[in-house]
Amino acid sequence: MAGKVIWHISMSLDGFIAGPNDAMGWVFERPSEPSPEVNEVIGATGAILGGRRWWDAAEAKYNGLDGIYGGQWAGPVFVLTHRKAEAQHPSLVFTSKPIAEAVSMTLEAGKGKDVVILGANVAQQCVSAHLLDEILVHIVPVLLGDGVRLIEKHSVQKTDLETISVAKSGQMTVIRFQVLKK
Amino acid sequence: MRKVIYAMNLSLDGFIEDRNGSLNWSYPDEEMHKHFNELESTFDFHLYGRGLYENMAAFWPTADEDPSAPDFVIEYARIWKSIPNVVFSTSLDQVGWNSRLVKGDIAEEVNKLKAAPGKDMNVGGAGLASSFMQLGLIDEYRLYVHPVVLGGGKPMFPQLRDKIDLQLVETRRFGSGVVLLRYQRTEESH
Repeated sequence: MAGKVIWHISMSLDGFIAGPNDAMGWVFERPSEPSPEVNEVIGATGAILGGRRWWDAAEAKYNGLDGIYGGQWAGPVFVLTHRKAEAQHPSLVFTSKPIAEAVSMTLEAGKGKDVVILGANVAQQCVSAHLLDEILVHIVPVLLGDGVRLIEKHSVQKTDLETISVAKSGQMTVIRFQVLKK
Repeated sequence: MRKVIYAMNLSLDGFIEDRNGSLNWSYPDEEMHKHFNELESTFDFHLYGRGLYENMAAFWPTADEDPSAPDFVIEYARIWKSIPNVVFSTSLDQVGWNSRLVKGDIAEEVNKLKAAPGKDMNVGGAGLASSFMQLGLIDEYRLYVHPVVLGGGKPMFPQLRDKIDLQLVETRRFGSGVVLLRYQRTEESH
């Protein structure tokens, strides 16, 4: 059986996934408890498909491949980009393939386990191409007022979801949605 | 002290109306309508902007006269009618139905109401609520997050100059998949 494609994201109450200038400090400012949902994702994920903006930030600020899920996860990571780049690690692949091919390549590399999408632009492309199975969102109790939106305006059509689970983890609310494909 | 509560239906991506101005994705089912009836009965003032006041005052005063209306709609209409409205508008000259018009300073008026004894108050209308947010007048947010991505429309929250930290006090899942997230102001933000 093929794994699922899951967008895993932290979001402010007002719908931002990064503050002005890609600031992410607000996610870690508030006390949070180790979340069983995150451990579940770490165990179920076989490969990651990220965007270039995500990767550049991960590499510059969060210890690159060794910093994913705080170093708790290791596996193949694909980065969707049109800019040429040399991957410095055997687990890292830069690709400029169309989104559907990039997703199936990542699923294949995950060997039947789930694929996690990191990065808003890649996730929006997945939603538009009906490739996304689930959204797992950690809602942070803050109004940011500005920044990068979960969904950039008019980047996707109206998309119905189904609430699968709701959990409270410290001050975070963790909601898992299934994306309904028409 | 009385609290000002802002309760809204919104999409996961933070919109309260879709791109066509429609609310049909957020119509409450019976369970949620009953929940809103209970919530409504904890208020003794509605604080409305012009647009919402006009919509509400055009519908609810006679909604219980419709013989085909379900019980929970009739109940809401009766609760709503018993609660006076304070309407904040610089463009209206007069208001009707159980309402008082305020043209002056918002913060001064709201702080006066908050200091008076009574039940909680409900602020409504995205524009007025945005002013309340920026003035630090909202004590509790009740977000009813609907399982849908709208991809555009009217946003619930305004641009803010500074971020606002809140305290999560309750989460609740309804049968329809709607998730209530209830937040209060943190002590530091008072």
